Amino acid sequence: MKKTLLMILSVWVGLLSAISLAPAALSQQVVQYQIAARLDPQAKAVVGSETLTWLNPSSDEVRELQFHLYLNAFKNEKSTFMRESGGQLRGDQAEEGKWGYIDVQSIKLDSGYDLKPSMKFLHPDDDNADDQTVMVATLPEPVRPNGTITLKIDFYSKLPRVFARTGYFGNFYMVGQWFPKIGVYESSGMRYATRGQWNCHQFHATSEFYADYGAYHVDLTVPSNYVVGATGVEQGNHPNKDGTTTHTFVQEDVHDFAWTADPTYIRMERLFDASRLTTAAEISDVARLVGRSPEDVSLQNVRMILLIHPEHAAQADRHFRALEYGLKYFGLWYGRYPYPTITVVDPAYKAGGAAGMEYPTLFTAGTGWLPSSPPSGLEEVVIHEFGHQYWYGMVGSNEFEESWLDEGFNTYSTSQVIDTAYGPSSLSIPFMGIPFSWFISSIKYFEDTVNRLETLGSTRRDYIVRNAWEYYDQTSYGVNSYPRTAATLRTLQHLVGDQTFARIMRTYFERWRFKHPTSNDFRAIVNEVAGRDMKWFFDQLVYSSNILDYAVDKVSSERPKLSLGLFDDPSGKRKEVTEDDRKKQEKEAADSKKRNDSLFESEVIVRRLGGVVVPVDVRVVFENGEQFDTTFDGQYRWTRYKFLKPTKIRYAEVDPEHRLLVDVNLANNSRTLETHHRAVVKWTSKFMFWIQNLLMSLMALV
Amino acid sequence: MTAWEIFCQGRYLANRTKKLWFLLWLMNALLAAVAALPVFGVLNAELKNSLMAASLADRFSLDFAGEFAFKYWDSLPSALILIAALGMVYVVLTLLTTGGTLAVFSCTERRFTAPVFFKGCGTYFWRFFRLLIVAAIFYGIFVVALNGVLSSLVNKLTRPWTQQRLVLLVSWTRLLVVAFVFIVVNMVFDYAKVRLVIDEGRSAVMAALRSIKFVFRNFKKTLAVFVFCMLLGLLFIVIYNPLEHVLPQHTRRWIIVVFVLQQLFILARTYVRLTFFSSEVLLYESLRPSHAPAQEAPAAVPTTFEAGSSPSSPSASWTPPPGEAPAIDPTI
Repeated sequence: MKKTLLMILSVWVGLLSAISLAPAALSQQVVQYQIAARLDPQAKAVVGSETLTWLNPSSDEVRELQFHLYLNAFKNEKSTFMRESGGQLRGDQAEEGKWGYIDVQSIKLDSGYDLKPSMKFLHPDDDNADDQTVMVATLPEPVRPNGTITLKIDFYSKLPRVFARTGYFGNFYMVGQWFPKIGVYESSGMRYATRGQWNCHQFHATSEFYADYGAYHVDLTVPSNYVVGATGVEQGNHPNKDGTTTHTFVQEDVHDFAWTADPTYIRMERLFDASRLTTAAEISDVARLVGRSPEDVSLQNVRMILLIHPEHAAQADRHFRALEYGLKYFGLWYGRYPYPTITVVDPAYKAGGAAGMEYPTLFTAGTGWLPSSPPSGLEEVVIHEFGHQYWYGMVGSNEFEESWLDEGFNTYSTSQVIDTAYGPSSLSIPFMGIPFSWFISSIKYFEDTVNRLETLGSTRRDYIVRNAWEYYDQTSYGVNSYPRTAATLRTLQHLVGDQTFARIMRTYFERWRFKHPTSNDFRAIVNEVAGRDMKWFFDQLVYSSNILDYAVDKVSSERPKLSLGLFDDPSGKRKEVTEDDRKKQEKEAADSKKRNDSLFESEVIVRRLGGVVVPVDVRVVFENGEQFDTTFDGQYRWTRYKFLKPTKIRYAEVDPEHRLLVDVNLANNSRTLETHHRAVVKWTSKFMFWIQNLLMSLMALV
Repeated sequence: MTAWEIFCQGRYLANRTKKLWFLLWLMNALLAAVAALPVFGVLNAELKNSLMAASLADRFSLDFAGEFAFKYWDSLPSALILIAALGMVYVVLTLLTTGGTLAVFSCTERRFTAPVFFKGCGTYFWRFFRLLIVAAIFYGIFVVALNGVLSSLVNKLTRPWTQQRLVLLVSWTRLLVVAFVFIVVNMVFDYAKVRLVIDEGRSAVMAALRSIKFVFRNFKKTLAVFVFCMLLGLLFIVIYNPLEHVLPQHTRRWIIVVFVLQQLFILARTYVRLTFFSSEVLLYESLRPSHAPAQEAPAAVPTTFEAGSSPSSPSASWTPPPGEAPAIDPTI
């Protein structure tokens, strides 16, 4: 009896300790996917079977389930994706006859109830009856609040020739958005939902994705000579009798699963050793900056996996170094990377459509045989796509509806990492695959400059926040979602201060990781951390297409002139001031100038040329070194400053600290009293020289 | 006589025509100045009172360049039309001056004199104009079309290739082939011009066809002369570029120095072009089959040339005055 009691006690203690040792889930695990998939290299297809357990996170009874069938975007030219993209995305062309699609062959409840008869396609965004990227299945009984439902789905995914993120080229496979994926059920009050509803958009040319967090357990069966990489941790693999191998990957707290296979990959693995790559001083500095303890800021080790093609093997170090910078700075600034692995995929040459894409714990980079010197596109794409582990992966904003929250935030963060880690980049324009920067010293620039310049032409068409498929065009989507957001966040940083902004970003990440925030949630955190209402900023720079442009319109410094005419003195005597009196006075003033005690009437006019009203610093510098600083509130279109001083103005400048990165014209931000022709002559003569050379080359042809 | 000797004599002849250098440079600079004037006006309006001018005097500003491009993007078509119009004027002027230049190099004195030059300009203008049309067809067929065909072949061939290295190597090979064909076509039409002047031909088509025959019969020599001249041009580029790069350009004095340097470079390019022509004239004279008389009716104009300077009677055994130039092969 005693023995039995002891046994029961020890089992109980063991169970309790097992429960306490198991890592707590980081997210509300709404979905549990168990997928078995087999790659058919001949058919360029994946045959799969998934068991999906879905938790109804709301207090509603849910009577239907909606699914994304993303691959159907590549089924024909009538899909919404193809209509919007014209069969062309990110420089890649869809190839005729190499379509992709996904067939749901069977969909049943675990009770065996067949949902297929109720299956139909929805097109909530554009009423395109030909689009098959969203599917709905009606349930025989509703899923109760906080209840679960388990489905078994068999599917056949025919991969397209790599075009938009996913597909094959030769033996290279990048398999993303490949399985029937349930949408997000938003209960009333969640994000913008006013009542319980499915958020399950069609696949658009300019949209990315949105899904619930959960756990994935995926068995991938591929020919044994293929090297495989996937979301999550590989738990093991076992060869099969038919010459294939089954690889098992598992990962919790992610909202998607992607994988890649190619027999020519070289697999490399290195450890991100947090103790080696971050110093105590760095941790302490960042801790102070973001207002957290050093323990909160410190990082953890991560296994870095690189799947690289032999042609690029010499660039492995550059990939790893860039990834280390990403893990380090994103981790220090926003919060540590919580997953044990991160996999970088180097897409095959001519599979550029698969390059530069993020998936949870796995992303694709992209390089060429002859890359420019670092930091180049290689480093930028590695750091940017890694950054999406934060702004998309962990902070799960809705990319369909608020692309700025992932792409823009990530462009901002990427820029900060590149500038911090590498310094200025070099402009590199390759010719026939050879980067010019190898031969000539190239123009250096910081990322802020590029983000600002790319923004210049964009603001007149759209607000930053908009449904991804409703921007004026693809360019406007790109510019507003990426660089304009980055430049706007940088401007916000300058306005609230570096430390406050660092705390805003940290707080936003910490509060919203593994959740689905909106723009309003970010704005609330800005107000909370900054301690002031920044609505005016968001109204004008995020929810507006106005431009910001302040200018110094006029600068003058003149000696006061004697007024001509008849003047009565206090005694009642009338005196006439003539031209001779004025000349005499001017002569005296000229003499006093030599003595340096002549007074000048100076005037500065500052104008607001754009529609955005932001308080702007104004600085007036005088020839004697004196400086006058003030702020123009910008409420009216212009303001005038007058001075009476024994010195002339040297120059006047608005925004002297260059805080307003989104100002569209920096040349008019200052005005000097004296004219400067050196730059004009220098660049005109250069232009003339270029034309002369052009004409000389023409001479050789005639 | 070797190609190198021809090239050396060609350089010598080009050296003797400094007035011609100046004339061609002036023509080039004036036209470029016309294009530069609006740029000066716009830059002046943008920058003369801006602090940005100070930083732009020191170094290139991507911020300003981007803003400038954005602001004046709508004016780009007008600017391109202006440049194209200037290009066309330059083509016409080049057609004129090429006749004069070749007349100078092929006359007995082989020195620049205004009458010889301007007479040559007038005499050969329309012939060269017709030749330009023929040349355009040749460039179209042998360079543009060939490039298109090769591109499409390379694309087709490399479509399934999965290694960028191989694709790039094939693409570079294509580029080299096209560049080589371009050089050959360029040589052919240079010699066609030389032929029209020396042989007093009138038919552009005949001149082109015979020039093809001439170039391919003497391919090694014609190519060698071309390559020597081209290397001379490359030498000037190699000298100019680092110099321009290291010179400070932020003070008024240095801006003037660099401007002068730029103009010297243009003069050097003019000199290279003249060396092309003079070397080609010398080579053609030395290799012309048995100094055969022109098969076409001679033009009326040469009779009006000054005694001893007729372009129709070039002296194949012309040698520079003693001590002025390298020794010349007496077998010419």
